[in-house]
Amino acid sequence: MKVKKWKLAVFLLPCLLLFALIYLIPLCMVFGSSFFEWRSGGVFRFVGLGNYMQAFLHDTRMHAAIVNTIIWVLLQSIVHVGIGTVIAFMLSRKLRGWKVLRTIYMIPNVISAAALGVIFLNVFNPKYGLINSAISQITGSAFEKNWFFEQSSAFMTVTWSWLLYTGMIIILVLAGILAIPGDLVEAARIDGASEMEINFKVRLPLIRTILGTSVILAATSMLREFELIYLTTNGGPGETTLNLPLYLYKTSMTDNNYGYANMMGVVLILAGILTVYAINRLFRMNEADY
Amino acid sequence: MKKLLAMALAGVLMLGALSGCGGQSGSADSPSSGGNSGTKVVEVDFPTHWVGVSVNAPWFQERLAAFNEQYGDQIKINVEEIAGDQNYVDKMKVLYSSNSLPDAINTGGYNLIDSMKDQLVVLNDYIDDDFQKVGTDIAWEVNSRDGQIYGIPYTRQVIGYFYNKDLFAQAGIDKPAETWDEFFAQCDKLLAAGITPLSMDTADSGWVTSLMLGAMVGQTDSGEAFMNQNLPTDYNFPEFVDAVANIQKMFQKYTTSDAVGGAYENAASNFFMEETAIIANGPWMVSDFYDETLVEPGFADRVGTAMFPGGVMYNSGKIGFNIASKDPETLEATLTFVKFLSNEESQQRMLEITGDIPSMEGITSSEVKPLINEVIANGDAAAHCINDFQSLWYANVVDEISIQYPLLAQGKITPEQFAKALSDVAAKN
Repeated sequence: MKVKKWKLAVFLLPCLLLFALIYLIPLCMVFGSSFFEWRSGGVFRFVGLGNYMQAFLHDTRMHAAIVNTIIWVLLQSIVHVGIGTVIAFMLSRKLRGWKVLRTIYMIPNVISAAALGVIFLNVFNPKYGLINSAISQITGSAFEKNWFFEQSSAFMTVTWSWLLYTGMIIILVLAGILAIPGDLVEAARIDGASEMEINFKVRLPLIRTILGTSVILAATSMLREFELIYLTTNGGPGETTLNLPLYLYKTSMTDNNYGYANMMGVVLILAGILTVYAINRLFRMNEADY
Repeated sequence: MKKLLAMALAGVLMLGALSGCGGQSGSADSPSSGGNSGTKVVEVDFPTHWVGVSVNAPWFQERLAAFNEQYGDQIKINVEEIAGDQNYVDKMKVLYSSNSLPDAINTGGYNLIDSMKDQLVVLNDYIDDDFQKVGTDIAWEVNSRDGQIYGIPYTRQVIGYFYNKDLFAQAGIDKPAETWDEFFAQCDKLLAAGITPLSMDTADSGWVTSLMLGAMVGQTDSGEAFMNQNLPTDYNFPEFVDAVANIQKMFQKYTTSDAVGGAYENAASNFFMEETAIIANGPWMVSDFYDETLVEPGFADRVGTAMFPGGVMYNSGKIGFNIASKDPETLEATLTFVKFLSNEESQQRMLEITGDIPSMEGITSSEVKPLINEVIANGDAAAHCINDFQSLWYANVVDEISIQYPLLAQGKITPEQFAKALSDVAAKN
């Protein structure tokens, strides 16, 4: 049945209007105001590419935020997705208790970031935290490392608060593995392939698009990561754990420099588009295998 | 029929979406009719952080009930609860950027006047000589810019430090130090007695720590002038760098292991549990000394008050209520509400309930806890009266303190670099 175009338009209109009001118009405002010096107190003047020049040529804090963001995107895309994939493959063997384990891995994903921040601050507390207490018990001497606030360990400790919690990746990859037609695996088995070879040469290539989706989710989550850093280190010590979203927030809310903050917003949006495009190309997301 | 239903559904969805975006609820701009007498009830929007565990929450609830009893048939206060003063300040900034500040604002001392005064009401025409008495000259001065009044004071800052008399006695200390050299000698005595001398923090602007920092800066005339300067931009001067060097020493030698990264709550908890001997803070903390869910029975009797060495006390005005009403009728109602919360009776109840010192001179009460009177007496006797950094420094400088303190504590930066970092951030404004 052929649907008339005007009817399609009428049904799409509510969604398009909402999109325009909530995303499109603010996006245009963010993009436009990134070329202005816009501060509290009524300061609003056109500066062209001034904000961008300042950010990329002179602002060392911006450079640190970009580097940290890139490192976290890479770690999340490779290590986080890698760990989740390995666990998903282990669970796909459906050994005893696999459903319980799958649920356990999801628990950190259902706890709010605010609660997680408080939990991690307590776990890594130098005075009474679980980690230091355990080390003190094992070594028999007082251990009071300040994990979140020593420059040598802050980045790693913040990274720990999300890197290992791969519940979402496990669910996605596991669903992909379980959806692989049994006859393909059976054929490989008849051809004499070992279980390891089947995993690497049959299952893994066949879940390529699922892996791509997982990497997109993981990478873009790091372009949006804010709460856990804000609640634990607030970007410190110094700039050790500063990332772009947090720097944007601080520039807007404490520097009251809205134009510069919106420039960062534009950088983040472009970084997101570029990341998604690159991952789509890398994983050939628009090609189906079966 | 199906087509008609589908079209109607699409229409309803669209209208729903639009009405959700454009709806107004309880707008302060549109006075509504109400009340039994048929008189016009003007609505006033007042977001507040005096909620939940805030020490001011009981006072606010009491005063709001009293206001409603007196003015409830004419003015309706729309209270929006926002937990945490920092969240409150952030929300005000968002509302400012969209030109939609509420009618009445109270930040609890954070200075939003300088960044938002273009949207605040200048109050000079609404303050008569009689009402002027709710605050001392310095209290009004802190709330004014270039002779224009942007805030109505209701309280003032009087801050020194508290010490544990038992722990002092254990270390052989008989009275608080009068000079900073003596103070550090006492810290060494406490350490020698196995007692951690100081409660400190770094998170949320490192309130407790920064009070010590400001007190050290303010012990000279020029330092005192700096600590009373609005929005300073240059922190590279000897008094400040020397004070930062002392703070570095305090972090490295005289405080608990959870000070770096810890918030006020950690610092207070260490003092309550008698793990530290000294904490800098204001008299609003006194009510906690009697709260047996926080401290051992009789703890308050073991606490003494002191002014900072060099005769320094935080003793100054504090940012009060700001008003941003946009029409005369709402402005009048907002002024009635704010003046009610700032009047003599409200200030007296605040002193009794929270321990906050009134901005009006001469308010006393027999219900006030003795330690609060000691703090007031210390403030009156101080040789150098300074204002607190949260009221006067740029918000981004206050935030920068939190992320530079850990580096300072670990010796990753020098006091000079700390001062430069604050100056660099202040220059961004």
